[in-house]
Amino acid sequence: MRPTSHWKTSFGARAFRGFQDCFFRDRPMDAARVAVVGAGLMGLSTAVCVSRLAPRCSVTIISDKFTPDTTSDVAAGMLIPHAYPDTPIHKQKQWFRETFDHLLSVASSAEAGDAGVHLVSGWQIFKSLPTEEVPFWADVVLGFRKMTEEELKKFPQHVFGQAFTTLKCEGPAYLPWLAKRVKGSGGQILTRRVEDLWELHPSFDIVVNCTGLGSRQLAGDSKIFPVRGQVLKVQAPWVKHFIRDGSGLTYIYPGISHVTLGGTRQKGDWNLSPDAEISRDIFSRCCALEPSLRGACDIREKVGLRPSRPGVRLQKELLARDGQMLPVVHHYGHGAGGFSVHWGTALEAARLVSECVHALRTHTPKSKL
Amino acid sequence: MRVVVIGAGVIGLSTALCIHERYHSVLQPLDMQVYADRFTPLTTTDVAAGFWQPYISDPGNPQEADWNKQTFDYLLSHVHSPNAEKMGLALISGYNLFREAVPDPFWKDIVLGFRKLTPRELDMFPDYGYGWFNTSLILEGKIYLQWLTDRLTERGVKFFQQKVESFEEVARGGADVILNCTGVWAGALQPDPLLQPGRGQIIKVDAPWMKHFIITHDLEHGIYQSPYIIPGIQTVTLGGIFQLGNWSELNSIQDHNTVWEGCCRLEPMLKDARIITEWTGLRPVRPQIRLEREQLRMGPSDTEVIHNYGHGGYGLTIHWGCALEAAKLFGKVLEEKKLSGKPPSHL
Repeated sequence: MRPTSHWKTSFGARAFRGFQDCFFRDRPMDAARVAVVGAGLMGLSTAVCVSRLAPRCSVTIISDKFTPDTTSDVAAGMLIPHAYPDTPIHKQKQWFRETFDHLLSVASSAEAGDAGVHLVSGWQIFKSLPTEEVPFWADVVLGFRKMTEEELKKFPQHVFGQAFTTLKCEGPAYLPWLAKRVKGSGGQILTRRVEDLWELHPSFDIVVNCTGLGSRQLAGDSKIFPVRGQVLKVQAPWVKHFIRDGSGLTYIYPGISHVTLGGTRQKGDWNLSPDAEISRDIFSRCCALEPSLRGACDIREKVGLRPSRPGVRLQKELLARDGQMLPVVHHYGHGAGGFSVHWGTALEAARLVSECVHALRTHTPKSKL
Repeated sequence: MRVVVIGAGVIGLSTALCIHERYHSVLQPLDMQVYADRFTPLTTTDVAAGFWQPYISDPGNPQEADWNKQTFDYLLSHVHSPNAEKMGLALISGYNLFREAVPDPFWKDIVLGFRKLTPRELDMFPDYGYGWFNTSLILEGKIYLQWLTDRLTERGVKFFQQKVESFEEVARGGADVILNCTGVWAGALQPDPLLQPGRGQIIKVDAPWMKHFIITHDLEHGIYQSPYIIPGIQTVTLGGIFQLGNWSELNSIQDHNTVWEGCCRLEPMLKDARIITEWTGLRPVRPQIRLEREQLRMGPSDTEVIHNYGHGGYGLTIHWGCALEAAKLFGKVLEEKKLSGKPPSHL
């Protein structure tokens, strides 16, 4: 256990002591200080949602990694949901719908270019008839229908397909855009590696944990594990459609600055270095679906570790130590489906933060008043 | 046998290739030459957005519907080959928007996945109440012309940068068959009151997030006079100008504004797109394509002319079907020459 003096000096105690005194004397009851740990997709979008839902809170994002070095930057950002076995379908659908509707309005606005959000149409194809021909999210995306025989001719090894229009959200543009919105509503962003959530006490009243795989250590969560994904980012601007094999292993996702070719799903693999053999395999699988990719150039390899969990952890936890309380809202574990549900889960995380703020109001610190 | 093709736009070069592919082994030797005063990137084809879509109304000549389909099928068969990129060919999906309901177009079963727009899709375009979604093809003029030029060069076809003043001049040079692919300027070789320029002006921008074509229609004003956004391989073409009878090849500020405002209204994010270039082209408009033979008596012998011009705003869309038809007409010319026993004039 760390000595109290160490905790206080971690954030410049003398400056904060004065601030803390002011805080309890002069600040309104519902203006809590919220720390969001993690500056990937979840950290940034939760920060934006908290600023909207609880505008009198101060929001500070604290992370050691920022775009373009987060897991979210490797992801293609396609809005095609990933199924979570531990989460009820209606909830997953609600999150997906909220995310889709939100991003659709961004894509239709003048900000779309800055935000890196755009519509993309394409095909999900299957080598054998899927058990579910119409997935739960079919009416959330646009124009969902079965592929015609003519369309399937393009994929001679596949027997069934779905055609639809969805959204793509490019991490390296979307994350900075979110960060701009956080700062625009008065939020702060600090660079620091958090080793223990208690470091944030007492400078902050509420902690939002958006650390993805980091929660294995930070929250002692053994349910979260990496699913390694290797992708190739290539130049092939003539590719205007996405193509995804129903297994989720092979996909071609055209974006703004490159086309993402994938991929792999390696459970429990923590290795962040690209593997040349895997790259060759990805390229050959994608060329089998889209032969024109042989003309692709400027091929770059990237690796991301999907923060996988049987279900997204969206819950409050009240940490207690030596009579001190620290409310934590956990918001992590989206695995392969982060972009698809991020806005929905961020809204829910923000609601949980509001509940914590409310609870704080009714538990005013006795000693300082 | 000397074949001279006049015109090096998509019609001239594809007709040349189609005929050479089919007859070079039959005719030994087949001496083919292309004469044009403009080559890529200065042809009308270079200005086109490069997108396969016929007009929405039925063609005056029902054969044109077949030629459109032949072109689509031909291009589709190549889109999955590794050549596609070098041809400037790619699949693209997108939207046709209308203010009120319209009947389905004659080409609905030619394109892929044709369907009506759903209400949520229409919500994205507040000025429009009805529309279609389908998958079609990009065929970028500049890239395709270069590809055609390379294929022809491989085959030993010769190119001459020269303004042809008359059919006679070409016949005197020894041509047995002339392919007249002179587009909007065909009238200079032989008056044609049915042929008129349909002036268009386009802006090419850098907007890599645009993955769909969006074509609006204003039925009162006619084709191409309503904003359209057509992504190409590297750039996006913005357009919406069609001025019948206007021969000016200069960009107009007023037309720039019309196109820019119309397209930004459709797609607000375009306001941040960087403008790469702006071009004016004269569509060779005619009530129907002139694709027929004519025998011209110029001097001692007849010269066969095969006319192939007047493709309006759908040249790329229909080019291969027309090339096949021109090749058929060429075949008939050969048959007749064999039967008549007349030797080719240049021997």
